[in-house]
Amino acid sequence: MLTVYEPYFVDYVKGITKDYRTFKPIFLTSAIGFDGATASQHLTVFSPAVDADCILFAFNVDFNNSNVLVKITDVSSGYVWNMLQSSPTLTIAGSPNQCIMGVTGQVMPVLPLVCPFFLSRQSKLQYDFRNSATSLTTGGNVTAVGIKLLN
Amino acid sequence: MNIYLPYFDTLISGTPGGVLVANMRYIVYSHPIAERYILSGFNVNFNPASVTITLASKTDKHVWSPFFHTSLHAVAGRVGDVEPVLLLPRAQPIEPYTRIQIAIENQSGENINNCLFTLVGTREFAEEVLCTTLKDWMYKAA
Repeated sequence: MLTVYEPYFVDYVKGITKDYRTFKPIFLTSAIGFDGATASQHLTVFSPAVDADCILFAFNVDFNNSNVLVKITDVSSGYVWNMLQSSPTLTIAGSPNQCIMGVTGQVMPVLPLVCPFFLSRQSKLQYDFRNSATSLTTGGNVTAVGIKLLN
Repeated sequence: MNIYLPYFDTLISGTPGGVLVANMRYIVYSHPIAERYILSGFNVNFNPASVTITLASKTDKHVWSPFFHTSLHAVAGRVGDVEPVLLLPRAQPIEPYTRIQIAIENQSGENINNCLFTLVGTREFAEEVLCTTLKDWMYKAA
C-alpha cells in the first residue's frame, strides 16, 4: 500500500497530547546578543527551561539575514537537528536561520516546523548562532512557539 | 515503533568556499545517513537569478528532473520570501544511506557567494538507537 507522508505529522502530535489533560500556548524567547561589529560572531544561547513537557511547532527570529546560521541541539537528549557539510575553505556553523525560523516581516513570520519537536520538562534547546561575515545583524531574538502540556 | 525528529541537511553549493562561479555547474550530494528520513522541502540562502538545478537519487536510480531547465526557484523557493522552505508536493521518504545528487548551474553571468543548499525533513529513528529521553517521547506518541 502506498504510504503518503503528510507534512506536520498531525497523528503523531495527537499521540503525544492524548496523555495530557490540557495545554497552554507558550512562547520561549531567547536574546541572541550579536554585537553587530564582529564578523562571523559565534554565540551560544539557550531557550528558557520550562517546568512542563512542551511541543514546539514553529520558530521566529526578529531580524532578516539569510546569512546568519544556526545549529540546534536538544540538551536533554543530545540530538542535533542539523547535518553540516565540512569543507577545507568554508566552515558551516549551521543551517541558514530562515529555513528553520522563517522570515520576519513576511506574511508568515513564524515558520512551522515540518515535524513538531517534543521538548521534555526542564530541557532546553541550545542555539549555536553565527553572524554573517559581511552584513552583520545586531542583537536579535529567537522565539520557539509551541504548547505546554499539563496534567 | 519510530520517533520523528526535525532534520536539516545543509550543503555547500559551488566551490568549497561556497561560490557559484558564473556559468559553471557544480554537483553536491546529500549526506547518506543510517536512518530513513522524510524529505519535505528545500531552502537556499541566496536569490537564484538564472540558476538552474537538477536532482537525482543515487540509490533508487530515479532522476527527479531530467535536464538543467528547472529553475532553482521551482525547487527551493526564494530566499527572504513568504515560503523560505518550499515544500514538495508530497513529503518523500528517503531510504537509509541514500545520496541525492544535486547539480546546480549558475547561468546568471555573475558569481554568487555564500551559497548553502538545505534539505528540510524529518529523521525517523527506531527504538533501539534512542536514549532514554527520546524513548520516553516515543512511548507517549504510541
